[in-house]
Amino acid sequence: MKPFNRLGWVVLGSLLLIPFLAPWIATHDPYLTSEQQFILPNVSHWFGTDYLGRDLYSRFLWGGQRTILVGLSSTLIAIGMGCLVGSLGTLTGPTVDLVFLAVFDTLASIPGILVSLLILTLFGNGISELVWATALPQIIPVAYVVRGAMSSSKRHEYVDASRALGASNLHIMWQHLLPSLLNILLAYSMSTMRYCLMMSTTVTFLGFGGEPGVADWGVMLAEARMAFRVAPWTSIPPGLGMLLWVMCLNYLAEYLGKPIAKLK
Amino acid sequence: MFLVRAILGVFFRVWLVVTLMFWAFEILPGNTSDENLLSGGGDVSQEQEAHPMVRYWQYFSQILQGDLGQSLSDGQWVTEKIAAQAIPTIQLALLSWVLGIILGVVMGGITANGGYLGQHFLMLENILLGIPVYWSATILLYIFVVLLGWFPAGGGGRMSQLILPSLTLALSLLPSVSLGVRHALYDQLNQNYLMTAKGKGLHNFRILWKHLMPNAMITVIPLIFLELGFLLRGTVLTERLFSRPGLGQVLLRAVLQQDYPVVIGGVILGALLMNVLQVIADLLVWLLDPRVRE
Repeated sequence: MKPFNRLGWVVLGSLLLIPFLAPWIATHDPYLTSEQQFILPNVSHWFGTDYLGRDLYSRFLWGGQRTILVGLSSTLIAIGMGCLVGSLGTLTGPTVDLVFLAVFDTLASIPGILVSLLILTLFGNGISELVWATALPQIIPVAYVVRGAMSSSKRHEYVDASRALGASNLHIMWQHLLPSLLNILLAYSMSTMRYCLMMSTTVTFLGFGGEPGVADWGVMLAEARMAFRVAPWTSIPPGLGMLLWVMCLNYLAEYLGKPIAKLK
Repeated sequence: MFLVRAILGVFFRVWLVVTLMFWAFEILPGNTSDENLLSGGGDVSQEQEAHPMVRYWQYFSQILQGDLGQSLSDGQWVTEKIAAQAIPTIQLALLSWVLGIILGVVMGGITANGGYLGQHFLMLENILLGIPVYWSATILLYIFVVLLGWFPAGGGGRMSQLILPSLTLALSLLPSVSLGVRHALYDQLNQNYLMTAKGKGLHNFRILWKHLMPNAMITVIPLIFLELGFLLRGTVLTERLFSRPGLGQVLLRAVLQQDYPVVIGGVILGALLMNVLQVIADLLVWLLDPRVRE
């Protein structure tokens, strides 16, 4: 299935990146409260206002920027740490590998939301804690993928050849195994980012990971949930933003994963 | 033999989680006083002098006796606190699980069948996969509470207050079940019995639901059991969304009050639950598929 043609990708990609233009295209201060609560979309407030009279269009842009940046940085952390942890077992030998596998199985059995909540309980409630709380539950799934891919590409002859030439484990991993993983990692990072976006907005929706009322899609959806009787439409901009992002990442993961599936 | 190994595996993993929790608290600076409260609230000065290994042993033997410590905020036993609120959560999880599986299997069959209907259901599945549960809840609340007035907006206890949360949670479970069913069905496509059924001239509908689906179920059932564990995240959210009483609310309050023993108790019990579900899933495959038994 080819979901979008090239033009479609360009249009969708630029739609998704609109929040990053917030400093130039936002019309109001996202934290500026006013008397005009819950006014419907009009010329001066493009998406209307929320329960404190804040401009929803500007909040959508700034909030999107925060949400996407949190998702992106936790994805990078998860992928980086996952590569490190996942390759350690392969690097050191079969006994250590077994120990690592047992530890992975254990950590994977703790539900992700509990890990996130535990981190927020222990370390507090800021944006960096939010990033870590989002990234940590995703490290182990990445490590599984890296470990699996490495142990299958380790059996190739070029690894034996390199070892016969006297290369160290570290050299083999860095020069031969990691590059062969790149496309798998790229495809997997899309679905990791999907989970990270979902998890970070779940956490901010629950009221953690920032001051109350900070511009963030999760927080905006929580505020819209409170106002579902008077102004259900306030939930549309952040909800639609999340939906588009997640769907797009999903398609990307499928699209990038297809050559890998074909190889197997 | 299989069961013994599985149960030993559960014990090992839960032990590892408990150990991890304990040493994480030992290493973290500034948390030692809380750690003493965690290990049962005994004589603090005496326990501070004890060697970490001794305290670890105490903590571990307490957990083996089913004692997860006392809450920091009101001194209630963690196990009592969790047991008191477990029933609404279990009701919610089970009902949404059953709903999600039924809808998911039907949807998986329809999307695997393809055609006009299948294409549209595939689109619907993609939308459901992307829609955050807190947005779909707001939409459902608006439709069923404000526009139609069928259900109350929140609270717990009555059946009518259970339906809307379960539906929300089932909708978030649906796409992953449907995806699993579809892929399991695709895996069956090159089997010989399919050709036999086609050769007999059976209708596509009958082949799909009577011949392919039962075989696909063997791979789907363990997945479905693991989803029960993933529903935990959904229940935390859904209880907040519909202001229902339950474990999610207990956990969230504990996080807000920095009530470590309750959160840690939740982590340990959550890990135990996931491991037990994994064993049940393995056991079901073993029972259902004679090929695995040999």
